[in-house]
Amino acid sequence: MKVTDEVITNTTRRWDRAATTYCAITFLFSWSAWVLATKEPDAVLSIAILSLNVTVTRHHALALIGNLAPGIVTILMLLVTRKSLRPLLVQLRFPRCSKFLFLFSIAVPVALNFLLLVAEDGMRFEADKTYVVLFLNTFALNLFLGPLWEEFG
Amino acid sequence: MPALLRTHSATSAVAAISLIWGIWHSVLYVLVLRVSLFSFAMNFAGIVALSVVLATLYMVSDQNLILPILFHISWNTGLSLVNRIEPTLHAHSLIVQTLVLWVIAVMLWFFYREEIQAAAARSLERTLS
Repeated sequence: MKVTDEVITNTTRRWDRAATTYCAITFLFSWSAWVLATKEPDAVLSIAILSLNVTVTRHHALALIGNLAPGIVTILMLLVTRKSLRPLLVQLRFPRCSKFLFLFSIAVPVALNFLLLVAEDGMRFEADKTYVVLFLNTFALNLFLGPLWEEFG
Repeated sequence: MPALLRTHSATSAVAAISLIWGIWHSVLYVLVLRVSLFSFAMNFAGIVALSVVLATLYMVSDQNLILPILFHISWNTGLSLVNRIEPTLHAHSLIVQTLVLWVIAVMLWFFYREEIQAAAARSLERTLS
């Protein structure tokens, strides 16, 4: 395609409208879920999927739904506008980048939160190996939760 | 991000995304997590810095989501462990952490500035073709 000023302007307008609509729906979706999470927060929801029974508080369930909204809205908008999901999914391929960046992405947040504990305990904080197991378990639990869906958005 | 890169420089696009992301989190912090005003301000500043880091990782890995997702998961995991170990944090700890996060965000952006500009140009080309 020959890129002219008209092509750029038209594409810009189309994207601006799509981006604004996306933001409005995502904010409405997430904020509604979070506001609802504050009403009757201790109410319990039981979800049965095949033989699996999951019990969560209404507060946690709605807070989680609000966190997932950016990704859910992205997928819904692509489906409604009949656009391909491929450009979105292709961004989840294995990245071509240095090992340093992988190490940076995992180690720096850990170091920053360790710094928070050290600052809190006035240099008296002692790391325990149970924290490593706890970290790995929580990391695995988080793999398919908020971050994936937020970054989709 | 690609939408903003069409009309704005990489720096302005990241600034806009950071603010939008910070505002999006505000209801979560105020209503759901019920943090104090000070803690909210620190978290807001932290989220803005965090999104600069995530955007840099996204751009330098040629618009790939894996590195930002890994960083974000590691960050959330670390924070939830901190909350379990120390449920109440002092102001100075939050200030130290937010400042260090900002220093890292600025250094990363500065260090990879050429790759970011190149990635922004590629993104514009890709969307227009």
